[in-house]
Amino acid sequence: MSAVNDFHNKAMDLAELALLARLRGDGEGALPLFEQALEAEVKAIESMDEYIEPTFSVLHRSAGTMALDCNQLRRAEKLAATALAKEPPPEIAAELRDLLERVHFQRHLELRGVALAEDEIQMSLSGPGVGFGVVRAEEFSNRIGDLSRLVTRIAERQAGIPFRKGGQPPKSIDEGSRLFVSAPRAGSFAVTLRFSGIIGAEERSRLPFKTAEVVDEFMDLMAFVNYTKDVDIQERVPDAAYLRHYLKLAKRIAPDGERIRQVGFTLVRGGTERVVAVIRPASELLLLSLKEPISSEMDS
Amino acid sequence: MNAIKKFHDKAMDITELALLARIREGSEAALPLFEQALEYEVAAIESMDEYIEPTFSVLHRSAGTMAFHCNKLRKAEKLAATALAKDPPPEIAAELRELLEQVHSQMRREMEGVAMSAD
Repeated sequence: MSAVNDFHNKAMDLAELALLARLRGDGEGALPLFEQALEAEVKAIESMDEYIEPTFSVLHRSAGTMALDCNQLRRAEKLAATALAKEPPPEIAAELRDLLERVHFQRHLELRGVALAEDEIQMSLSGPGVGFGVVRAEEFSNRIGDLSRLVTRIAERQAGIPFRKGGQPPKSIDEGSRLFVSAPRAGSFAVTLRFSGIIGAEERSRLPFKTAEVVDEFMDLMAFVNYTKDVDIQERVPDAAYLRHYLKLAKRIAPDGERIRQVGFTLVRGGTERVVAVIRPASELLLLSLKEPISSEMDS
Repeated sequence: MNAIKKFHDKAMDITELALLARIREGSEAALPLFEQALEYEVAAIESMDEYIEPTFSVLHRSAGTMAFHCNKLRKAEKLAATALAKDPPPEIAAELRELLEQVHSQMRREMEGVAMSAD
């Protein structure tokens, strides 16, 4: 048992360093530490010479989480499945299920044959409020409403329109950024969102903004609220009134951490998928990393 | 291999009857048939004396689905997880993940006490 403990303690120490590196915004530095932690935890598992619970399932849950942090999805899945195939205590079994859900969510973010135009993104939801191909209506409809409002605001800003404190957007913005939703796909609840409605290419070219750039700004914003340091959102959106409003809506779209634990977005640019998975609950979104403070007063 | 095939074929025959019974008479009538089919599919798995793919994962997916139809959720989860812990072909792995997602979704509904059928 001593070798199991030694390897496990080493893995925990390395994982702590990896988490600290990630908190500092050093994602590249965190990755090799997570990889070393994973290898140490796998050695702890291999050092077990008999099946003992909860040690077996705790080590597999821990190693599986590290594998997910290393983006080794299949390995994370195998580790979680190996423990679920045995007799884990109920509370560890629940955590293993959560881990598998996170692994499978990452898989659902991949498009797997779904074609997206430049004005389209895939939105995926997962968590206890999501069933197989079904979702609590308000979890979906509220996010769609906020997302639609956010995209309209982005289009207005990109069209050079000063921040509007109330009333309706100009007709050209409203019609050009109108949101359409596809039929849902099962697994995580996933839909395709189209941002320029059903207008034709010629009509779209006359819009006072470029739809693809609006979509890109939306993705940057969601990446910012999740990772904070990957995107300099204040450089992209220097107008404080717009940024304040963006952040308020982004916070509503983010997971609540209870019914919805993950909200993911996928788009395609130059044949490559760009994925943003928001996993931080709205209550934990770190808006303090803004370089310049903005008023905490959020207008409606 | 002969015993595996014999048990698996029997399980498939009974599953077909179970599906027909569910259409004609409802879920309750189908339940004992799904349970019998599950026992045969588990017997097929137990008859395997070496790990061979895709046989191993196909049998586990099939037995897991039968367990799900019997509402034996933990058994369905164990069967699907056992196959995913090995090296199933990608298309079977995708089906095992789908089965697990259905099982976990149903587990959550039962924990929350959400009624299943009427809505």
